[in-house]
Amino acid sequence: MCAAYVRRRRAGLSELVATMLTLTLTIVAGSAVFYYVSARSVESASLYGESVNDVISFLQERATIVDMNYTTSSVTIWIYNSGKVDLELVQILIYNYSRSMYYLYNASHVVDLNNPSNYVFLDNNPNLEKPRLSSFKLSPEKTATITLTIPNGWTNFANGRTYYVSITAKHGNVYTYYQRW
Amino acid sequence: MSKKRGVSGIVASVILFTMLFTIGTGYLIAINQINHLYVKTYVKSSEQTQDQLKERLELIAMLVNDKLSILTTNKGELPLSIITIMVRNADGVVAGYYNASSSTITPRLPIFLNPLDTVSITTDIEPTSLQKYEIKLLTDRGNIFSATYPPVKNELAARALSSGALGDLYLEFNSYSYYRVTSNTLYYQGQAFTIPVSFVTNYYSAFSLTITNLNSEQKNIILDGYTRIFQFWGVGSSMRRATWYIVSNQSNTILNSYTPIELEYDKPTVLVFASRSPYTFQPVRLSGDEVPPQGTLAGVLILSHGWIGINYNQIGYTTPNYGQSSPYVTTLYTG
Repeated sequence: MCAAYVRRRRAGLSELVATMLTLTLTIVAGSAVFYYVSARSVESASLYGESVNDVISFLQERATIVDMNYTTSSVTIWIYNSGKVDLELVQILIYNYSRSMYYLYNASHVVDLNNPSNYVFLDNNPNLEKPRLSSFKLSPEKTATITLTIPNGWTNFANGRTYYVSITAKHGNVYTYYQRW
Repeated sequence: MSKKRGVSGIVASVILFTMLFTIGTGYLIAINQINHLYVKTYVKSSEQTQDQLKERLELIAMLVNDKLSILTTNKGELPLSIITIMVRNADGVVAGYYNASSSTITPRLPIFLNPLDTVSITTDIEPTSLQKYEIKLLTDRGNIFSATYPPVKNELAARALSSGALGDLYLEFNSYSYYRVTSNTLYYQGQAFTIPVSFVTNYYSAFSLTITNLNSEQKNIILDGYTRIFQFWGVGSSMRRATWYIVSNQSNTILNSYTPIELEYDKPTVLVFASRSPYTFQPVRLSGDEVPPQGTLAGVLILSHGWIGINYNQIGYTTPNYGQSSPYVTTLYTG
């Protein structure tokens, strides 16, 4: 009876230690899995939220090109923000029907797309884009103008011809308009 | 022993369920909120698009007191607001740009129009006879409506057929007026739809009306001295008539001789009819068979004659090539 009693006590201690170790491992592993899964779900929801937010901004971004006014070497474009968010522009294309004239204006350059090696840095010629697209921001229900000037030596506008303007806004909408000079 | 195994299994299951529930529920709530926001924005965007499509504005460009004006009617289903007006000439030059801060336009912008409301917007632009303009109106929903001045042919045809013209002359219905004439001076009496018989027998009388040349080819019309107002009543052998020939006038004074009047395209002109004979002013006082009996409803015709598409300086060398009889209004002669 006495020997049996001693054996039982020893066995109980090892069982307790084993249980404690098992419990600790289980909690640590479980917590790690919990936090990992939790972080992934938060990240997933955040990415989804950002994606949906982009779509919402796309839906809320609206603009109307009201008019174009030409001179031989420049065009002034009237834009109205009919959306719910500020209108920011990424690039403007100016071209004719045959695209023999095909100019791109963005935040940094004016590029002749028929000859891409032919470009002008706007930092060196800021007057070619007034205001600069990098600083253009139009509040909802406001109208503004942008004047684009053709660099020296490039083909100018001709009276009686029709020209197209295609504006790409920050959230991905593209607005196209044409008008005869 | 068997009781202890059962408890630990349950505890483990509860913990596992709690963990999964916490993460899953939070994730679902977040996704649901995002989806709700997306659907809400999408619905609003669709509504905005539909509202934009429902906007319909009818424009007629015209001259009022020599100023370019736009008669605007909201023919759509929704109220709208005109926030900007732009006027360009044929050379593409912006002749006028008006927004909320512009004080040279009447009424001031923005202009709110309920469905079927009409407003006449007057700019400070005075068109020259040969200049053409394109007028654009921008609404707050982002729609652009445009009209041209002078109006294009289809628009003119619609205007003429809808309200006052057969042929080239547009007759402004409410402008039909009558006058007492004393020593070449016109004294306005009122609209000429009802006139006492005693008036035309006791006084020299005259009539006026506002007429607009809406020739579809936008040609000018020059009226010679045979142009007249012709009133008639009765039938068959008892038919009677009275005539007032066109006269030249300066304000309210009739000139003794008539000088052909040029009707420029789409420019309203007031014509005065006061003479018994063509080209020379002879005042008209009705007597004898010319006097309509009391209760007579006289038919009124405008008999116009002259030149069309001819330079004014050339009419002396050109045979008149224009003549039109316009059924117009009636005059009731009362006691």
